[in-house]
Amino acid sequence: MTKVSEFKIDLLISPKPELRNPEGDTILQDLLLRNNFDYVTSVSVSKVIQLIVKADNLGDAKNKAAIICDELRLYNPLVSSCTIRGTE
Amino acid sequence: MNVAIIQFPGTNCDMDTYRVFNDYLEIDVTLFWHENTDNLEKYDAIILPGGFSYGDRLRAGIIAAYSPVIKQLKKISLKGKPIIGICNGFQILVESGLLPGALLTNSNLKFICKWVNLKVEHNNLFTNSLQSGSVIHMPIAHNEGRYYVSDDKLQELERNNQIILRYSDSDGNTSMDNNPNGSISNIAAVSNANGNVLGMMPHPERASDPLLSPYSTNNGIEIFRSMILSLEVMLKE
Amino acid sequence: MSTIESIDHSLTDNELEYIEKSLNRKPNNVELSMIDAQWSEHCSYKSSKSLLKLLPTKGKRVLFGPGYEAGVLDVDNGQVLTMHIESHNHPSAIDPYGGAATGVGGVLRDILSIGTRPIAVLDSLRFGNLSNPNNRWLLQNVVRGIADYGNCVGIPTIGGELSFDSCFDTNCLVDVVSIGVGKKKQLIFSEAKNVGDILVLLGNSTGRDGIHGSSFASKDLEDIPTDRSAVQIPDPFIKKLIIEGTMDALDAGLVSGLKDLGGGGLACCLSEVSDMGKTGVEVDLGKIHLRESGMEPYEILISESQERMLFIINPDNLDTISKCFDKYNLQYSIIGKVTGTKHVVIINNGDMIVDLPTELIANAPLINWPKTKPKHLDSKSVSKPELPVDINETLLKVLSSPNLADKSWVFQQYDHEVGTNTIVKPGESGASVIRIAPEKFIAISVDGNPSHCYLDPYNGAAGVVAEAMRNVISVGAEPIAMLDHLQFGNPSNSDVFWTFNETIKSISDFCSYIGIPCVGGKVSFYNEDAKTHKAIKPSPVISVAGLIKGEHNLRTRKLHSSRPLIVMVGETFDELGGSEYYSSIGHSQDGIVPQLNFELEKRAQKLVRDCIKVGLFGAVNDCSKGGLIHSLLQMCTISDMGASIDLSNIPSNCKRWDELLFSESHSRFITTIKKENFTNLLNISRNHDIPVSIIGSIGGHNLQVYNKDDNLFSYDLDYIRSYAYDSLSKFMGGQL
Repeated sequence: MTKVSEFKIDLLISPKPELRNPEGDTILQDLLLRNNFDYVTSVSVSKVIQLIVKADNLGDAKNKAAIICDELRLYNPLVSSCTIRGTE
Repeated sequence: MNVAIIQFPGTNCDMDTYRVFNDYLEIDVTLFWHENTDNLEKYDAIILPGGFSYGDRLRAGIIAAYSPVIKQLKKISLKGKPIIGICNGFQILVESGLLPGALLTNSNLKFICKWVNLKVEHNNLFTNSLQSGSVIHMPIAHNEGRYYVSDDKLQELERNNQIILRYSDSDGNTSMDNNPNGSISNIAAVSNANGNVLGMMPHPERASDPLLSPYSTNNGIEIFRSMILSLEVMLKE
Repeated sequence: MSTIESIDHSLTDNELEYIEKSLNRKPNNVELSMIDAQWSEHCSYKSSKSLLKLLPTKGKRVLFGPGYEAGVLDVDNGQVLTMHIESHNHPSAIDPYGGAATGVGGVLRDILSIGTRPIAVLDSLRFGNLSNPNNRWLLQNVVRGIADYGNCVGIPTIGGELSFDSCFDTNCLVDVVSIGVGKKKQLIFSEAKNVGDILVLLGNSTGRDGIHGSSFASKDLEDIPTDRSAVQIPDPFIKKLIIEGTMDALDAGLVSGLKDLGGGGLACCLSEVSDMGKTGVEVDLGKIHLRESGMEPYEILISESQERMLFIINPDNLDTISKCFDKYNLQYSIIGKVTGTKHVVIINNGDMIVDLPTELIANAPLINWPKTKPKHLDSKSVSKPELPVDINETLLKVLSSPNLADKSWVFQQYDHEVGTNTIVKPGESGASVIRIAPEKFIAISVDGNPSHCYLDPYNGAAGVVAEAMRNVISVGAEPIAMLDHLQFGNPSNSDVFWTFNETIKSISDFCSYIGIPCVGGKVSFYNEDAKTHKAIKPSPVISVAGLIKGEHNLRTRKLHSSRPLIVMVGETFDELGGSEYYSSIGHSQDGIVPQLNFELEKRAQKLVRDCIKVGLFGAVNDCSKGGLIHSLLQMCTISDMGASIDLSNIPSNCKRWDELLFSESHSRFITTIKKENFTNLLNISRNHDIPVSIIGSIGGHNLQVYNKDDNLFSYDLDYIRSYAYDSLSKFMGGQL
């Protein structure tokens, strides 16, 4: 009998680096550099969606998460990339 | 008497607010660009108008909260001068610590623009010319208007009469049904403990001309008028 | 000239030959990229230009019409109104959020670049049916894109329209209208007119975004491209700063020419300003502030990075103007100068890499596509559906069509109050009204009807103009100008091109007859399914602007007990082809569509305008989509007041109740009057030869319909809301 466990899966949805990230740019220019945190050279803002997934193993959990991402369009692959990370 | 309206990059409601003071109330009013090095202390009251300062990037109001002009504002607040933060202005005031709490994304996760009923909870420097317990009308227009404080803090706000306006129905009853954004205890406007700083999500400057109101009312102007009347008394002293 | 490997372009062999012949040499690849961008359908209008000349463009208030950045109208006291329409159909289909948002950005830039401040936006959106989750995803994100952009930039989105049809499944339509106001003496044009002036590029750095954006819009949608270059990232914050910086610079009075960078990027911008100014330009690519290193010259030239404006100024004024930009921390670079060569010259690393005559780039050879009348227009059946047995079921079915449903799900996401000048708000009438000076108001509407246009292109298109005019008249305005946005399939499809031709003829004929000038517009071709090549239904979208003087002339749909009698103006005919009713009951999309009788329409419009002026009419509402019952429901729900009508009093030869309720005949209005004023109204209507009739009265909280003595139905308004009118919110309720 396979033991079904729960896995914490993080979906990191990030803007594609080659595209503009106006939010990151504003944070860099108007918040960090203006307040003299000039050792920061770049800012980009991402979003994390955290899922708790029932699966047989971590790999299975990640696969399930990937299917959800694609079918429900949790991110638009044209403008964002999605990195799937997981822990037991 | 001179009122300053602070402008940040991305502020949108500065001219609307200016018009109410200049054209309707006929009070001297100055548009104060955030980088202006003039002394803010020479103004008798300060308004932080609505809009999208810094595009609401990172969090609404956070980037403006760190600007030098807000540092000045904190000092001025300690002297008891009236300060009103409207919508984005309210967001800047909570991010800078001049008002308690936080303003989170609306519970329906969308921007909401519509007219609401508001119950006047207490008379203070900003609501003296309105009747306590009465229901007034103003529009809201925001994405992050859900007011939140801890339960302890909420009790403190209630004890100190710091909750100034609540979302309500036309009879003044407050419930989730007439809470447009999920704010705790239907809070639409709060003041600081000292009562000289007001933060409000609804837009009084948009409710100052009966032609703009679906109810043909102009309750919004009373917020500003109350402040001016209170100032007149304060300045005489 | 340097040689580069071959590049992607969409120029035909004929066009290449033409270019070579004009230049007397082969163009290099950079030059080809520039011409390709400018000669795309989107930028050059090569398929439509000759036909568009038919549209009437003169009017007593028209200062500038088509061919300029925006239409310009004199609205008295030295004030001008500007108006423009844009679409972002193709980008929105693959990135609805970014596509729609940058669509708003684009139309605002046009209003700004003629020297006026944008004061309002309207949107006209069309999607496939909401039962398909992809269409819900598109709607959700398009609305969010428009909301985020318009709200952040602080310009109210005050109205629009939203409708659904399966023909838009793979080709949604996202159109945006903007209006602006300014001073006549501050108008500025997109011309490089003074030799010696310098070119200053303001705004976002130039990157690889949106490359081939305008040629992308000029092709059928392929499978979703994973290539990032089709995407354009919106930045309303920088746009807000650009608006303020530009207005400050214009107030200083020191700008010679101004143009925004839109489709085709710098390539199109440069060719257009030198063509307008009858001069030449020289630009050094090394001076342009770039986002990324290692960009190829052609990439720099055709990039469609958003939020960029080209200022043309006398070099002596640079100091003053740059202070306006510095205040808002806007980036800018001095990229070149105006020359007298009548050529567009591009320098890179000291080498001249482009040298093209302006006249060549700016004037693509026109294409005259073949036309054939679509077969479906000849083989129309005119069978009528059976009279429905269950009136209640039918009524609720029709009224719950998302096409007719309450649209507050959309417009409550738009800040329509910012600016404190929005007098007639979304939902209060078929047009919106914005105040531009004390006692002076502009009414603006946007309408379309692809169902009518598919079945009868001529009556359909003219009918859209009539409806847009009626909406503006219903708020108390005098129509003064219109914009047209013509959206069709592939022009090389002879059916499509015939329909396009017919549409322009129709709009021209009606506008000339009724006396409304066309001051601008757009053409969007290639809206067809990439796999099946099925074109969208012909979708001309019309926006009409009107002028109102005096608060007392303002009207809305709102009922008031002081005017209790409901009056129908105009006659109802049996012409339900393409109607919401037929669509809801599944009757095939056939039949006669509402015929536009030009003369009747003119008289009906005049009657309503005259009656509003003398204070006879209270609430006023146009009667079209969904028929009389929908028009009445709109009035009742916005007022939260019931009404009772008798169908037998409707001026009509129709016998069936469904025809009376749901016919979408033109030239009709619903209004309310005082009892004592009916005789007066009757006399006025006889002078205009338009039938008017009291069809009922307001009261209670029910919508009640009789047919003589038969009580057809009676519903409480709350019931209709929850079972029908709120259907859009229900469909979209599950969306995040």
